Amino acid sequence: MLKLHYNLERVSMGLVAAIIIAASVGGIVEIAPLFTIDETVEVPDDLRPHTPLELAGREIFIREGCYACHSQMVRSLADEIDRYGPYSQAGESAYDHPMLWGSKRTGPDLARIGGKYSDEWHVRHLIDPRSVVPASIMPAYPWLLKSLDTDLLTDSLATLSELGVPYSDEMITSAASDALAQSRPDSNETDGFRARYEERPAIRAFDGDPARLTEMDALVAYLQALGTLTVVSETVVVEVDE
Amino acid sequence: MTHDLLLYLSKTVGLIWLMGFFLIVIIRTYNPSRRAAYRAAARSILPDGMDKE
Amino acid sequence: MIATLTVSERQAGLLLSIILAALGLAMAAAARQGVMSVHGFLALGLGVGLAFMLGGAIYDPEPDEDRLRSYYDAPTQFGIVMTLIWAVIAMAVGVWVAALLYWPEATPLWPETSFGRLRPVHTTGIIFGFGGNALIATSFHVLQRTSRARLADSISPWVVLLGYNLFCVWAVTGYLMGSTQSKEYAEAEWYADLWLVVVWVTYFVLYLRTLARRNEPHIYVANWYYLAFILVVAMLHIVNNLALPVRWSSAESFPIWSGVQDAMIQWWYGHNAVAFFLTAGFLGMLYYFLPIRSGRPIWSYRLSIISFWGITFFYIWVGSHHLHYTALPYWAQTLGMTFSVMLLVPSWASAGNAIATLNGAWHKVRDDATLRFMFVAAVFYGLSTFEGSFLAIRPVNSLSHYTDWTVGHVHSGTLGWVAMIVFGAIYTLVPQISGRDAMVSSRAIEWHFWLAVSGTLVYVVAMWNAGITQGLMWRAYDENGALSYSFLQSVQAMAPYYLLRTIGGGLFLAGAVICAWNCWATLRLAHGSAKDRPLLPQPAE
Repeated sequence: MLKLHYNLERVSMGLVAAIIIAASVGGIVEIAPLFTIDETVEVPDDLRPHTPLELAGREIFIREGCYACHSQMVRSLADEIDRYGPYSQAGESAYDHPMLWGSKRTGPDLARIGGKYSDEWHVRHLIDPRSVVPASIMPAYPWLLKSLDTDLLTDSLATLSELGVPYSDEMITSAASDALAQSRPDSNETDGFRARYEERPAIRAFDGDPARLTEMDALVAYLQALGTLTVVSETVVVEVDE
Repeated sequence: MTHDLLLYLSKTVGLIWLMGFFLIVIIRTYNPSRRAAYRAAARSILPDGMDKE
Repeated sequence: MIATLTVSERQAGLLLSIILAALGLAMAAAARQGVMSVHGFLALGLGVGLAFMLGGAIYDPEPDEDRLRSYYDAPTQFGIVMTLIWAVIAMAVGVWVAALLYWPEATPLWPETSFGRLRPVHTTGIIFGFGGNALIATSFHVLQRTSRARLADSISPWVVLLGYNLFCVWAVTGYLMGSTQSKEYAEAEWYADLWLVVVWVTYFVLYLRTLARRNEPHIYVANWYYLAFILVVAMLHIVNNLALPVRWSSAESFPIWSGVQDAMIQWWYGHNAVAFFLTAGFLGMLYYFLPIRSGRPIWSYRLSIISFWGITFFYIWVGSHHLHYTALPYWAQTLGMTFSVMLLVPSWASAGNAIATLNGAWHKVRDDATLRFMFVAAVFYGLSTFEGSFLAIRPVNSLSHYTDWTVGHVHSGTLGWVAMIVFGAIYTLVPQISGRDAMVSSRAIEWHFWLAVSGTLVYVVAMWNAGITQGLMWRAYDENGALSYSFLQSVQAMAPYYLLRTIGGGLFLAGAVICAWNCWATLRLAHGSAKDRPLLPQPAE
């Protein structure tokens, strides 16, 4: 064999190139096909993006690290379908930047929690978990009752629309007032909110006090929306062996 | 680049890449002409006094 | 530190610290309030502090001429000190959050001390703070000794170490203030990620330039592992952290990936942060310090090469074993599972190679606790990689996923393998760079060893029990087809295990504190520096 003078071990650049070649194939092979996935797994046409209030709640969910103990991914296993509901579809989290599928269940999975508990239950549970669930080991979040900072909402929606989330220009410009409208049923902005987000998002005083827009409003609005952004078929897929 | 084509590629090219890479590594490593170099390399980090066997 | 630099180097350092201060000021001014401005003032403070230190000592006597004929160990020493500081802080936070799972009300009701914000402080503090500093410090040492050449220049090691630790401080303080991207092990915000890319490129360039000036023709295999660590972590970090900031003046940002693509990329990154940060780098440490400490060459050098390419090739594929039975396409899950099981071969090639190297030196393992640390590290490396391959099999994963069994696997790897090999390397390095032939107290090393081993075993066994109990309780059906247990019942069943885990973590932390004291005492009594010398620099071909 031709005795290469600069064989692999001696020339560090050769080693660098070989490492990159070796380390790149695994990623490309598994990630590239996922970007043409919408030819097979399309985004459900009835999937709605988060409203500004729900998005603010999602940011609080991330800020407080709730994802560290709560997953949002019902697996296709019998006991999970019985415990939590229909298993999560890929299209459901298509607008989630970043996805919050999670990796640990110190607490229960939340993918289908929307509408299962009352707003009142969520508020009391978040402020003092043990007052509602005596054996709970969840931390308390009393500071969520402070008012919600809506300063970044418009820019947030604009950034997300750049990433492909369907926010119209009116949605982006009126993000802050829409967040207020969604937590104040009798306010006069609710018609504008309905015009932009149609019928599905709930308009309620999530934290129980319509006069104030608090972080609790946002977080409870987000929790109540989990699993309701698109109607997920109840059918259980039969394992087809390819 | 349809999804099926990409899927087909990822199920074949990756494994061919694996076999090819594996063969190259085996040939280069167990090439008899390099046996001495590797024996010396293993000792290269030891202070010369402790150079046993 | 500054005495080791020439006047021109001090001037360059002064300029760099002024640039850092200006960057910090710009960040603080742009953000005006919130996390980004706090981080701007942190960078400003560091820049100004460095400028004063350098400015004040700029005309001190320069190091004498034979500086270029000795190894440059000051950065390594600084790196080890930072490693120990981060170890104690991050492990203490770990024990605290473990205790919180048993006494949830044992914490003041402040946002900054809430479990959700402390958990990433523990993971980032350990992986990046403790592990990262240990890798950078030992890589400078190993690189110079195996190349028999001094580091390519004397400024960039400080840029790397100080820049890297600024990233760690930004990340950790950011989480406490509520600024996180929530992507596991990549939670730092967008400007910290950009900063790390700059630091990492400096590190890569310094590494390659030193390799290029080596006086030893062959690149010793430990350097392969370190090089793979640097290179692949750069690839992973950049792709996984691509994000659009909401405003250039705010810490908020949105990752550009979403849904199933984000899941795959996150766990392609997530498991390879484990692979190349916590395995490849530390295998480089093992392949250098174990032979040195036992005085025996590696059992089979060729096997280490096979193991290297196996690990570099296979590990990349396995990320999807974090997503079994989820919405990720079935074929990707199968690929991840298959490669995870195949990965056992190169992993055990390295573990076996390390243990076989000790043949003929078992008396040393018995007598020398430092070598025993490395031996136990190799054993735990074998155990946790076997457990990993096993957990990646889909039916097994259906039981273990989301449970504490995963936490048990993580800590058999981090406590048993990563921390032990770091302690072995530290106890080998610290005497050497302080011109002594042993640590101040060898009894303290023994105490640390037994505390570490018992802490690890208590921790891992408690988490195995917890995880399997959870898994079984979640899936149990009673005779008339209803679920036997509510989720809350499985949480209540965890109480004894969470207490045992806290005790295990406490034992391990006690060991780490003893190590920090022992190293502090040894470094304080240091006189002179390492005695070995590089070869006279002649041009490497």
